[in-house]
Order: sequence, then C-alpha cells, then structure tokens
Amino acid sequence: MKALDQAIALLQTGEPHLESEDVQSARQLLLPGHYLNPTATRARFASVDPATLTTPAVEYVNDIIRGAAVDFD
Amino acid sequence: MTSIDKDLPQKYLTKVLFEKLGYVAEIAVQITSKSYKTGYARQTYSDYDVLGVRFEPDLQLLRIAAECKSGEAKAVEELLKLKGVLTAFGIQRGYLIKSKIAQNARELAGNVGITTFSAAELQQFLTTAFRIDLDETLRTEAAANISLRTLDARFGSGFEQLWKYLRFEFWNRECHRNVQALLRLSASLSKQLDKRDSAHRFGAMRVLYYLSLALLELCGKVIAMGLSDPGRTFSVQIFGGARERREREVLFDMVHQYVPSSQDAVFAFEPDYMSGLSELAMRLIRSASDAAEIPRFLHGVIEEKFMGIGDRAGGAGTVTRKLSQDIALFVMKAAALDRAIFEELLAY
Repeated sequence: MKALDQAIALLQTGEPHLESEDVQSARQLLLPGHYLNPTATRARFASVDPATLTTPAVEYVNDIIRGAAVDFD
Repeated sequence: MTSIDKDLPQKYLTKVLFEKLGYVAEIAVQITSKSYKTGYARQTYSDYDVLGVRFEPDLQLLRIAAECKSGEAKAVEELLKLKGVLTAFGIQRGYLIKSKIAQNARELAGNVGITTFSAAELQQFLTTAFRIDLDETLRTEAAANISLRTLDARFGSGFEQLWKYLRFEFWNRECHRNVQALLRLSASLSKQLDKRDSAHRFGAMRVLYYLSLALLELCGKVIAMGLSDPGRTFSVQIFGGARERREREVLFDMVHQYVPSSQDAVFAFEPDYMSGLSELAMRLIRSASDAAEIPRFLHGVIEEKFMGIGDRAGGAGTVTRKLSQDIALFVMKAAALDRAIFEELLAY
C-alpha cells in the first residue's frame, strides 16, 4: 500500500510524499524493471514451483509446538 | 573427567555414601544453559561432582550434590560456591568433601546447612556406619566407571544427538520437556538401534532410566497439584502447565490452517502415544510408593548387567520391577523399538 500511495502521489504531483518515512519505496518506483505489468507477473509466477509441506517438515513444526523439538539445540 | 582426575577416589566414595542414603548417584553432571552470545549456544556454568536423586513415596523429587576436592586450601571459597550452586538450582542438600577442611569453613558450613567431611572422616563414616570395605569399594567403582565411560563413548559415537541430550540437557530442563524430547529422540533412532550391540542396549537402558526420572517427577506434580482429577492434571502438566498448554493450542490452531488436510495424520496437537503415556502415569501414581523405587532399580540393572557390579537390582520389590517393565513396554510401543533392546530388564 505504501508503494501504491507513493505511485499516486508521483502521478498527481510529480513528487513523493514529503512526510513519507519510506523514501526507499519511492526510490524503488523510479528504478527501471522493478515493477512488472500483470501479464508479465502472471507469466513469472507460473514458472515458480509452489512450496510443498513435507511430512518431516510438518512433524518438525509439530514438535516445536508441543515442546519436544531438540534439533535447534 | 579423565583417568588422571585426582579427585576420583573421593567422588567414588561420595557416590557410595549417597547410595547408602537411598539416592541414585551420578558423577560429573554438567550444569548448562542456553543463551544468545554471538549466536544461540550452550554455556556451561559448573558441574556437580556427585549428584544424588531419589523420590519420596509421594513422588516428590529430592536432589543432593557434593563438591569433592583433593586439595586442602580454599575451603571457604569452595563452600560458598557450592552454596550458590545449591541455591541457584534448587538442590536440597549439599556436601563438601576435601582432604582436609579448616575449622572456619566447618563453622560456616554449619550456618549454611552444608555437611562437611574430610577424606578421613568420610572413610571412617562409611566403614563404621555402613560396614563398607573401602579398598574393595574403590576397586569396584573404578572398574564400573571405566565400563560406563567405554559404553557411553561407544553409544555416543553412534547416537550423538541423544548422547548430548543426556549429557548436557537433561538435568537442565523441565521434566515435561524431557519426557517428550526423550520419546521423540528414541523414535527417531529406532531403526539404527542394534539389539546385538551391548552399547546400544546400554544406551537404551540409560534413556529408559532418565525417562523414568522425568516421568516420575511429572507424576509427582500431578499428585501435588491435582489428585482429584489426575488425568486432566497430567494432560495439562505434560505441556508445562495451563498457560503454556493454551499458548501451544492457539499456535497449533493457527498453523493448522496452513497445513494441508493430507498431512492431518501427522499434524496433531497431542502425540499418538499420549493416551498410553497418561495411562502409564496413572498406574505409577496409583502405586506411588513402589514407583518411587523405579530409578534405583533401573540404575541397578544398568550397573549389574552392563558395568559388572553384582547384585544392585535384586532388592527391588515385585511391583517396582513390574512398573519398570511397563515403562519399557510403553517406550517400545511409542518409539517402535525392538523388544530385545530391553532384554536385560524384561528378563529380570
């Protein structure tokens, strides 16, 4: 939302919000190629494998919740 | 501790004293803690030269510890350090054993409730009060200690994580965490345990001994906190108390939303073994005075069968033996272990 606010401010006034604490987000808007259009974004997401939750990972999370995990010691 | 530890004879005799007082005794127990320094790491505070544990007939845990020194100087400093350790870690009684103890240190020891023995006094007390043959005792304990270290090293080389847990973590954690962690570690190692390897059977028996300590301490909490509904009290205390259980339940519910339903078989708030564990705990509570002797019996079986000390477990009562075997059978089922892993105990 910060990026959107900054984008609207840039379109309306040509300047980012002066009161913004996140100057970095405004700077990033001006970098070429940082934001993709919807079509390019969909194509990029389609090539990314979705994360899978394996049984050992689920068991490990379960151990941490129960207080039985010792792996991180 | 190494073979050139010049305090060892005193530690052996102190261990024997603790056993004569009804405790199960262990030499060189590390006191550690975890903290963030450059990263999350274990720090060693100190150690107990000898630590003794036993359970009252209502399963309340008692712990005593000794500082053993072969030197003659600095008795006051050592006394005050021991007092600090006893206070910081909730040890009920302390003993300072030194070659000689200055009179001013003895006066101070009396004021802070620590028992002092010079080496000669300890030997005399063991000889007169318990009719112990000192030479024979020292030979037996030294040989047993070598057996213990050898088997322990062999077990540790194959099961490092479990070995480290017993060595550095067990005595520094709450009992409910120890119960769950030991069962989890046992289950993860079940396929590697070789019933033909004596070091593996020794290690499994050690795990069983430590698990019995943690489980009995938990049962003691149930007796002290909620005997009118012991099942419910146990189900709360196994997670560390009401607030801790509730926090874990809420966290579980939140995470559950993101775990696919296909993983429901492995993602559950209570482990599969919980009903069996609760049933076992109720059995221990119902026979509390006999259950209180379980650690001494299990430790006796280890000393007798693996360390070559004769007749250490023979004095245990029938109910104590049966309950000990019940714990072993439960662990076998919960961790999918082969029955032969506990053959020394089950044949008793």
